[in-house]
Amino acid sequence: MQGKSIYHQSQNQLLSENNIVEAAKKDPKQFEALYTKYYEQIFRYIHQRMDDKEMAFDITSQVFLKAMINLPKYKYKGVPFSSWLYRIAMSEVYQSFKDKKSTRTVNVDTSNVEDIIEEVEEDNTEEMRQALIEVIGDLPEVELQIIEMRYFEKRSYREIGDILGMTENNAKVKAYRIVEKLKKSFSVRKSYNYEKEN
Amino acid sequence: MKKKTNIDRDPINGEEIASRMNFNQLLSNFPGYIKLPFYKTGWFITTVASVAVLVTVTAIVFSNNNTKDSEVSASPPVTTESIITYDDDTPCITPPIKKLDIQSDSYYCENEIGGEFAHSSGTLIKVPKNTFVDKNGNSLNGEIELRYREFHNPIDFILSGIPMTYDSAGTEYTFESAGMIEIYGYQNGKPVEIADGKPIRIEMNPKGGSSRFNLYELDTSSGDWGYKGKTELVSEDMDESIGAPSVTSKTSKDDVISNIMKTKEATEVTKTELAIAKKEVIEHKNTQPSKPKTSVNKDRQFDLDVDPKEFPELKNYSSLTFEVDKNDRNFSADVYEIEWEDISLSEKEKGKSYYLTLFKGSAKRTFSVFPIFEGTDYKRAMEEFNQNFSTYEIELDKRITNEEKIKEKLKKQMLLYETALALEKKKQVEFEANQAAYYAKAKDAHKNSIAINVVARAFNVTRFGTWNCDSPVSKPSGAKVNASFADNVGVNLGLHNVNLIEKNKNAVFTYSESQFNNFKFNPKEENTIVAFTANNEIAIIKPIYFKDMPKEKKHQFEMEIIDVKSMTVKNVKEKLNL
Repeated sequence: MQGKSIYHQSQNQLLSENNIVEAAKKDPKQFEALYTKYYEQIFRYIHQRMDDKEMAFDITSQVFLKAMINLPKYKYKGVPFSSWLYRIAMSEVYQSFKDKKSTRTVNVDTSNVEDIIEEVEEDNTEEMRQALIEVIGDLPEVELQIIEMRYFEKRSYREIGDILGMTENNAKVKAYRIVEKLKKSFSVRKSYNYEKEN
Repeated sequence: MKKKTNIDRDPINGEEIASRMNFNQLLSNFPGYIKLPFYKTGWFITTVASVAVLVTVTAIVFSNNNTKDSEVSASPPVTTESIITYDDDTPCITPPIKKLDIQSDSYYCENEIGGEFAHSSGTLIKVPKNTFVDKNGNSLNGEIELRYREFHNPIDFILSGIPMTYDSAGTEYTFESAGMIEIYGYQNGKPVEIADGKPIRIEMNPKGGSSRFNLYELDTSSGDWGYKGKTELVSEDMDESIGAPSVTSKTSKDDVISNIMKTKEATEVTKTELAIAKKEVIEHKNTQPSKPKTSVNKDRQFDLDVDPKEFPELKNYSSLTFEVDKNDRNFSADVYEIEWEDISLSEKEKGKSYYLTLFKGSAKRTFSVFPIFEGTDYKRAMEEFNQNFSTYEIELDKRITNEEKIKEKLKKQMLLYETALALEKKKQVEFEANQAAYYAKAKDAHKNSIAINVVARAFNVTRFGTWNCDSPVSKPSGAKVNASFADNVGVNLGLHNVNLIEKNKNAVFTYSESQFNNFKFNPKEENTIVAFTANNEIAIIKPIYFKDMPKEKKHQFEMEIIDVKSMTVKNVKEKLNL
């Protein structure tokens, strides 16, 4: 993913970021520092899930506006401010799908597909890559989100957990179960092909 | 939800993204931000002040007058003022049709006095004195406005847009509710908070008085519900001699059940962790460095120059000999008699074995080979091997220790789970005995005309927000169809989700578009489906539809469309008749 997520922050960095948040609660102008810091990564998160670039820019603005409006309700939980922004972004993105303003798009980078193939212990063939892309597109939304964040956006389990509102361990367990599911799906596909060929 | 897949889409560069940043525009859209009129801006004040000073000085010079200089009064420093309005909208609460959202009622309370307020549903809101503080924890004086709303039935839940699912260790449950409330407090339009140790007590209709309902609080930023313990059942005053109503014993039994659920979930998660740890050990074992080999059979060898960029693991050896695996049946001595045109080497197992392919025209021969080392090369290879093997062993130990640790953790959790099960069994016996005794006494009390009745379900609100008395239930089962949803002339409605309601359960089972192909319902129940179209209409399948529904794997539900533009919540409830 371009514009790699600024997630891993030291305790001091987190506290200093929270000071900016607290200042922005009193004076919205102070929000500019957070806007500048996170604009690109929030935009990329949104655009990764849709085709329409202009819509992605509009939604990004909407996310930051909502964040500013709801800032008095924000409570520091020891994680980067971006996890709250991502949650708002997620909500806005799905609202745009619901309102049919944009279409859910799965953007696959073939180099990332190879990582998943390795995880599911399959041969890295063109046929397998195509099959995997197809299977990923058919995953339920919650599972697709985890695959996107882990393998396409290269996020840590901790960040995935914070964005989806679950523990780091739970995110890891869920990702593991999805990979197991993909493995199973491939083994079914293989035995079907085998039966077909014989 | 329909999805489109793009492969290797052109990335957008950072410069383009940065060029679209416009914080001033964002600020101008912020509702609480007051844009300063031009006459109050810094540049204007400075300019006017400078001009005024210049004019004054000029006037003094020209008039040569000794009268007191007229003072240039600069405006007091203007600061950007923002009025932050409390917006009840949260990322996780999205009413499907805003005008049909459940409305709040307002109650006014003097903070120094407190008060007791009766909601139209019969709920009592009990506020102790000095409950409210500002965001810094300072006590407030004067009138506080409480905005309060309740949600009691599936239509309330659907129209409010409040999430009604509960994730427990990766398994999604739906909430069956015994009542949900939302409460916020304000003073002069600004949000206030509840002081520590001064909770607001809510006493609501007990809905049958079942003790299986827990209390949950909604985390509005993540959309998750947090378990907050049990609700309390309040019974009418009874003769003390009857003994305590079974609320206490039921509660302790429920705690045991909750403990069983918790310990079971914990073991499930740890089992997965163990599977991951085992996999990590196996994966690492596959990377075990192999000991350098020496020549075994000189009649099965090839000397090759290897590109160090392609095979960095062999970079320390400029010229290498590869020997064909003794089990490779493709090899025969005649390969040395052919003048091959090309040769290629590819990896079989990194650093261990390779495929060597010889080409001539369309003919090719492939063998499984491994590098062999002699003399100083062998010595160097052994040094490398020893170093790599030591690193490998350290990592392997680490992974095995981790696996053992998780095994130990699982063992302890299994023990806790078994203990909880045993305790539940014991509590069940106690509970049944207690209940029998209680009802026997209650029967006597009834004979003596003493009413025994659970009159309220009570809980304490320690923070403003959304609170729910719930019991997690699984999705219905019994019948399964690959469902699609159309209007009554067969045009697909393109719904993103549908809500299934069972008459005897106060719950809403929501199926998203990706779950339509696995739409499950219980044919023995009285089922209703409610959904919202893109045109903000309500689409409904009534219970009678299920009675005539053919048994088939794939089914298109033909929904009745209700135009709700001019309807109120009450009209909608009447129309849906749930």
